[in-house]
Amino acid sequence: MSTRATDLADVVPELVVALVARLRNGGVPVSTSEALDAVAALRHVDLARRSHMRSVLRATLVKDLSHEVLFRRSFEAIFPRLSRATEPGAATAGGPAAVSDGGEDGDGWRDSVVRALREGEEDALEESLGATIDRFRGDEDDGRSAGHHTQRMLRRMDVPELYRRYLEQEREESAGLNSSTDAAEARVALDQLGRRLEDMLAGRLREGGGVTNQQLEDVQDRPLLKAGADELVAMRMTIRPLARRLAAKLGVQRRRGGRGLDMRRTMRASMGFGGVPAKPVLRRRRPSKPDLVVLCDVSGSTAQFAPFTLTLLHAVHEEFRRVRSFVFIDGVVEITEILENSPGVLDPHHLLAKRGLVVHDGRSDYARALTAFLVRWGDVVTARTTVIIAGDARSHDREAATSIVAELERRSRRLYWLNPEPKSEWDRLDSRASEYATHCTDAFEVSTIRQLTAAVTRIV
Amino acid sequence: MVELFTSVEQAKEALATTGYLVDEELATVVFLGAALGKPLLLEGPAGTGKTELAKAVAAATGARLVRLQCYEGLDEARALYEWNYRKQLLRIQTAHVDLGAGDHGGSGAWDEMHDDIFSEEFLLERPLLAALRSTEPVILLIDETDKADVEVEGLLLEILSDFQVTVPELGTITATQRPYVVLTSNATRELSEALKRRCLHAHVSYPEPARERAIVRSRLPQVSEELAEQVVKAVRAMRALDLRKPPSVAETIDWAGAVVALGHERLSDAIVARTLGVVLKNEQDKAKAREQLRLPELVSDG
Repeated sequence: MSTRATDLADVVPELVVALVARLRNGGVPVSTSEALDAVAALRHVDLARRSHMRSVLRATLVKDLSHEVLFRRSFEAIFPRLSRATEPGAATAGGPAAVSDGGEDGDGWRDSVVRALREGEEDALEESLGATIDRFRGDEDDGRSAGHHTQRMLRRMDVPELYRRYLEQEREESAGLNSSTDAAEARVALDQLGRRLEDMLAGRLREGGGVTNQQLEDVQDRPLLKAGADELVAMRMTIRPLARRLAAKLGVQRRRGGRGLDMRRTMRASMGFGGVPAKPVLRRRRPSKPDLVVLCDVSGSTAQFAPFTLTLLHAVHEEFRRVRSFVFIDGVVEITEILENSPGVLDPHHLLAKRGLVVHDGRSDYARALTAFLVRWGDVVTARTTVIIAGDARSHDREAATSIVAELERRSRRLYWLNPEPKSEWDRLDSRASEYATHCTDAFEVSTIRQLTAAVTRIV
Repeated sequence: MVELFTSVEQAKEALATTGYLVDEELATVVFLGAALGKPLLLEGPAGTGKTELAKAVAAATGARLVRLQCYEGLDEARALYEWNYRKQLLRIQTAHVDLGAGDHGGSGAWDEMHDDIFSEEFLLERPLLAALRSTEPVILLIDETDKADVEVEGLLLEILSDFQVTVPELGTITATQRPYVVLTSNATRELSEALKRRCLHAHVSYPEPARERAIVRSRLPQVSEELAEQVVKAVRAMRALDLRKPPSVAETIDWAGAVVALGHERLSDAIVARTLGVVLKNEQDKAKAREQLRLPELVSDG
């Protein structure tokens, strides 16, 4: 936006409209009245202060924390930093870092980044990161995602070195406190750095060529199986509050109970009011509380997906009389206790060390694992049990588990299948998704967190 | 709307005088709430000072604070207004006695009585109505909005957009001046889009280190700079641990206070172990913090 240098007040409505369009593209429901609010609100603040503008626009346009990332990125795109837009080179030439050209790897920028991080000052951090980006800029228009660029940028910035410096500054200022405290804080700070950097880079990326869609997508809609390490972190952060909200929602539904007037109890309640039925009493539904058995495939292909399923299902454990969780590859082990003792999302690698999980060659074998389950824990599945199997239903050209799935269905009250692969890939190659699904009460495609939440809601 | 604040900076300073330190982002939203006359919706984890903010705004501007605490089952009668049923009954009964003594009766007396028992005198004001009818500047705090049922949200919509309410027997009551409305939510439930649309939204998270240190020092002047820094650092490390109940800002302040009360000026591992209960109130959380932050067991201490 080259208009930035001209009188800003005149173009505010246009900029707001552009921002709103971008947000809507990304799926944020911004209403016209909110856009009007934003323009009205901008009249009250100093437009020269970028951070004020951002606060105003965020407060008026974005009402949901999950849209925060998209907002920050859109804002970066529509309102680029002033120093870059008007006087290119000023940021780089002025900074102490830019003078040195890589050879001695000037210290200035690193220290300024670390200092800004330590003090948690948004503007300062942005300033120093902006300078750093200019310094290390590669070709940002090669069609890769912001996540990719961020990783590359972080590598160039030499994160371990930043980490070391962060700790160093820390020590200088306060001698002797528990060093683990410092380390924990440094980790958090550097995570923040990564996220901030990604936002800024995403804002600079050119639109088009699929890049937009990718960067605008909500974490909840990204395919779980294809998520990169950085995306997984973001997903892990979303799943906790999501699980809590889901539990609260289901709890309310349960307490509300059914419809209809309970005549007898209404009459009795009316006695206190001289026979006037002032307090109608509604009939209460007595919900059945089934047992829940979760069987999760944690073999290589689906390992990323399993922890999310388990976390979400455990969050809603109040809806069930008892939840028991198992993971399998070609062997099967119970992990109920691990889940109960550790809040937060499980680390799949942690699980793989469990004995008994891998009996054969470490590729999932549904027939063998499910048979083992029935032999050892068969009595867990009764007519009161809801069984959920989560896995990609790929046989790896081994014996199909169809008859065992059928057996599970016969024994249990309900049987659900959660498949992390998109429906279009079901039945391709060695997948037996549909075959198994015919023996289930229902089978769901759960390739994203949103679908997973929806499926869990349906099941409960 | 009365002018509560004149600028973002002024809002920030005014809040600071009450001991509530805000960052620029929150200050902007607080100021805008006053400038645009729009309700503020504050969301964020428990213990980040959302309710405190409303109180601070009230203290800073000298306005009266009216608080509506939401809970499951909150209804119109508790939120808006209610007729004082017992008093009305009493009035009718005394009228009966009077009538029995006198000689006249009939429809005239009934009309009179009807007008009488549905008058001001028998109206029980609840927070929402109180805020609307107040003649002095008022801060209306609607706390934990997410706990209330969806029906209450509908009621709020009407009030927050028009600032008026209709009582059938009395007619429409319009706010003499718009109250400054603050809604808080812990996001255990999504609030409706319609409600969010009418509000300015702010996500209140834990303050950054410098600000949290300043908060501790402004609340407890006896805490040294060094101790404040150590406490804040430790608390932040705990928040990063994925605990069931991460320490709130109030708990940070309590902790610093506790350490000082025990006569210490620095936070050593032993003191942390002894006072851990001030910040973490869940056994599992404590165990986790001890393990991951490598704090010594209490037993080894004495």
